[in-house]
Amino acid sequence: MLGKLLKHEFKATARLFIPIFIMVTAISVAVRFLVDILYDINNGGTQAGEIFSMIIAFIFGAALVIGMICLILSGPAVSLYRFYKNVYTDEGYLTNTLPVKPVSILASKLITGIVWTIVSGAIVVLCFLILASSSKIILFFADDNIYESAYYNALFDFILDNIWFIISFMIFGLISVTMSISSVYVSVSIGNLANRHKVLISIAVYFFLTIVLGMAIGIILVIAGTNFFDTTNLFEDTETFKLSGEYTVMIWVYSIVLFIISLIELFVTHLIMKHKLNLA
Amino acid sequence: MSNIFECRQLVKKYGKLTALSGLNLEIEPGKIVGLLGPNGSGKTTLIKLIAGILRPTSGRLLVNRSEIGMETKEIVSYLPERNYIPKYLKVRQMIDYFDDFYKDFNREKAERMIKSLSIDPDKKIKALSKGNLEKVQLILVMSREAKLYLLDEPIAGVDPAARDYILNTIITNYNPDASIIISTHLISDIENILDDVIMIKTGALVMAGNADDIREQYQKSIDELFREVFKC
Repeated sequence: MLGKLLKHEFKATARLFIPIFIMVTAISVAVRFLVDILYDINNGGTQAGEIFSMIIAFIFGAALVIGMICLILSGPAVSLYRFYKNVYTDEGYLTNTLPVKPVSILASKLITGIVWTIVSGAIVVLCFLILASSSKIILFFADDNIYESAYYNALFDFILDNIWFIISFMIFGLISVTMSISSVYVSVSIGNLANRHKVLISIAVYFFLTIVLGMAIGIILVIAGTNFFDTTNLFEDTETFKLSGEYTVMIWVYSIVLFIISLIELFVTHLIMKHKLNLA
Repeated sequence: MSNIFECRQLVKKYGKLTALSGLNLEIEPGKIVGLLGPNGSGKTTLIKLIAGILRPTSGRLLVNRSEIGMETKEIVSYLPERNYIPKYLKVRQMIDYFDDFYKDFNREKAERMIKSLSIDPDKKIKALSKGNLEKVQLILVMSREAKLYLLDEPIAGVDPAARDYILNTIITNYNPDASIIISTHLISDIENILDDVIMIKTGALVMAGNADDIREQYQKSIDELFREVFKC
């Protein structure tokens, strides 16, 4: 039944995500070609051309940034909206009377949220690659006259030098997203236990959890002897921007702590869905 | 024959408010049962408990001798007293949804009934009139070959013509071996189709039994008796 739940969940959420994906990718493509055109106008030497190109660049740049922010936030945001709406409001009368286990309902929402977040992340990377495919993008903002080949070499070197860090950071990002989603799930579920002011209580629980967990994570990290926010030794080699291995280890410690917290939150959410469902 | 539904000392509290206070009930298979009581008597709470969207405070609740869970949800077809279908879906997608999740769903029957109402299956749920939406929900629920149907206020808030359609749909489409629990306070409209009657007041049982026996015993229609018992 999990497969069927996932099928319907993906169908229901695709109608929200696909238009955002298309919009952001289209803006990226437009910006990428605009940068080339505007660079030439900019280099034409006239002041009017320079101002014109800056204005256009600013408008499209801002649209792209807003689009990317929407994209990054949309995965967790849609996931929490679907969970709340589909499980604890009128739609819950359908969801919770399906002949499926509560754990399957929870898993379908979580998996869908995580998958869409990964796809959103991939689209963001794709957009950056589209932008980075223009060597003029850096020349547009900096006067340094670097050769195109040098630019691409520097880009690839940075990725290759820090591949392990990049992979670790992506896994950390994924676990952070899982924890954000599960924190919301558990807050909404605890709010559902109340007979009145469910949404208000959910929000209060969420803020309480965020503060308490934030402090707990801080203490755990200090005990573990890691300080995630200390960036003094961020780079092993400041010439090549190779990130230090120590920092990667810290990311892993942080990831494990977040993962354990997520598991606890999901366990409590499941417990409430299974034994304390209270659809008024 | 074993009961399709029974509860023992069933209690449901919402904070300090007691919605059901130690209810004991039994329902046999093949019966149309009227769950009657004024607003706030606990009818919807009882139905929600059987459907599994509320959990009891204490007491026991069995459907087909099983505790409420996945097994009972497979054989219980529930029509809530509210619109519970996602509004962005089309009628056809909702049929697909039921077809996917319920083994006992008769797709042909549902499609035939939708067609007979001249409802376009490609129409979105949000574009349906209130009456048609209620009919679509009822069609989906009654197109299942379930063992227990729970219909919470199916005729409240619809015009008399729609009421006739709904009652006719219920009588002509339910599985004869199954039982139906219909909660309502509009008794005169459904009195004729009821086999058994359960009357509850402030969460406690007032009366339960065969509708004909009750009419004979009190020399009154169920509607008249209801008005007398629940006189304000």
